[in-house]
Amino acid sequence: MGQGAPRRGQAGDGELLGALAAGDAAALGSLYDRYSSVVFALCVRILGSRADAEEVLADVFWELWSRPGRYDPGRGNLLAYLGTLARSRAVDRLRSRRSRAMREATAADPPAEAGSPLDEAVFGERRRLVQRALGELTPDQRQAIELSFYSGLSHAEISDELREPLGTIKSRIRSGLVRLRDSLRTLHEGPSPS
Amino acid sequence: MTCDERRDLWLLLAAGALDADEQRALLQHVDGGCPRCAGARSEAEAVLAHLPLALAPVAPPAGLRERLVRRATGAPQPAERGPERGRPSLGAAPERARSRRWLAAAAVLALAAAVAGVAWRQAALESRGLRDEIARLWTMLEEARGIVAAREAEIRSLQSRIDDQTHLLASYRSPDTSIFSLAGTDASPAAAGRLFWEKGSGRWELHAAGLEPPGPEKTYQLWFVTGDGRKVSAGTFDVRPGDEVATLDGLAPFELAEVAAAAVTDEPAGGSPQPTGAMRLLGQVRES
Repeated sequence: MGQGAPRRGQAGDGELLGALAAGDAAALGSLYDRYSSVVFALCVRILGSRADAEEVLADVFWELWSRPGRYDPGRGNLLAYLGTLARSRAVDRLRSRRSRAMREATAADPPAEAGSPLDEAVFGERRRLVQRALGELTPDQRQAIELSFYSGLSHAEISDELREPLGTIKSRIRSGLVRLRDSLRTLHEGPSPS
Repeated sequence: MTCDERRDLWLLLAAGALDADEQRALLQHVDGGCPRCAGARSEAEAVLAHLPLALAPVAPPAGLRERLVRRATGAPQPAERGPERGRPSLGAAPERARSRRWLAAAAVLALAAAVAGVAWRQAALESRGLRDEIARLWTMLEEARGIVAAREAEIRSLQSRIDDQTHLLASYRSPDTSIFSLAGTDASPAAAGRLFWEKGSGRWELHAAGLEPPGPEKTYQLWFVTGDGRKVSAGTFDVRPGDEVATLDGLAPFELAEVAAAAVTDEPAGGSPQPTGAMRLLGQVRES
């Protein structure tokens, strides 16, 4: 990240959310610095278009600013909330676009880091754990989960695309997610960056 | 349906793989106040929510941050923010017109107060910024400590497994150690066992693979059968879901030559004085 804008000191997510709810726009900037590159990567992956992804990213952070009370810390950390929001909106947009032919190559996307070296260290550790957990899945499980999560396809559509029975697809997704849940248990129970 | 059975369904719900009826039934259950399923639901949502972390982060377009912050600075949150203090009430009665001089004086005073307020707020923010930064660094330090502690626990667990394997290898190589095979019975055809017996010390160790968890209120029990037909309990062990190999060890109260066979049965939790359940593993204990 680091786009040259003035930054306030780094606080925890809870403090920043409190300040944001009180109308402090700088807190929105700090949370954007921390999470935008991860959320943007998700939007680009789903939509395949940087222009569309930018709109969804702006929409997600504006939603956070406009309705901070919608985030319930009891349901998960802030990144989980932002990711869920971004995925939902990106998939809606993808479905309304009805054509994935507009996807652009994303290989040239510039890599980014989280808001600070310490943020990057924490995200890097979590990324390593998630990548390792995904690596433990069978290729079939991983393909089914990624199609389900990133493509915006329904499970029936995935079944058509892979030419496999719907029950097989659901079973792969279920067994893969169970395995992921077990592999990521340390992540859920471990330290949170917020 | 039990909450255990529902646990996997929350994953399917989070992935959008449940049909409307299944989804409704699941949500009705958790809306009824089941804390266990509420936890399982959060856990399932977290599993899905962590997937984007596997992606390499991508820098958003330059300028978007500034536009967002600028827009936020100029626009209060309309949906949740109450009326701002100092904002005129829509229902207030209009005041009488005052002279331009009074208005100008009031404007100057208001401007001075605003400048003073901004300066004070700026100083307060700078001080608060430093405190925030220190608090943030402490939080990050705690997180780093947590990560280190998790890695250390992983290393200890791996070291323990290495020690076990080293010991097993040493036992396997020792000429003083005899190894006997136990085969799965019809009740557990996929099971197999190895019994290691150090003749000098009388120490033995059983490795049992392919056994399913014994079921609720049940356990597995190892028996040594002596040449004269006595069945002597050697202890109980459990198998958890996902366990590849279960082990049990101990010191034998008799010589190896007195033992004719070894068997594993399933028994009520806590074990039995004599075998009562189905035999799962069986092998002869005789040196060739």
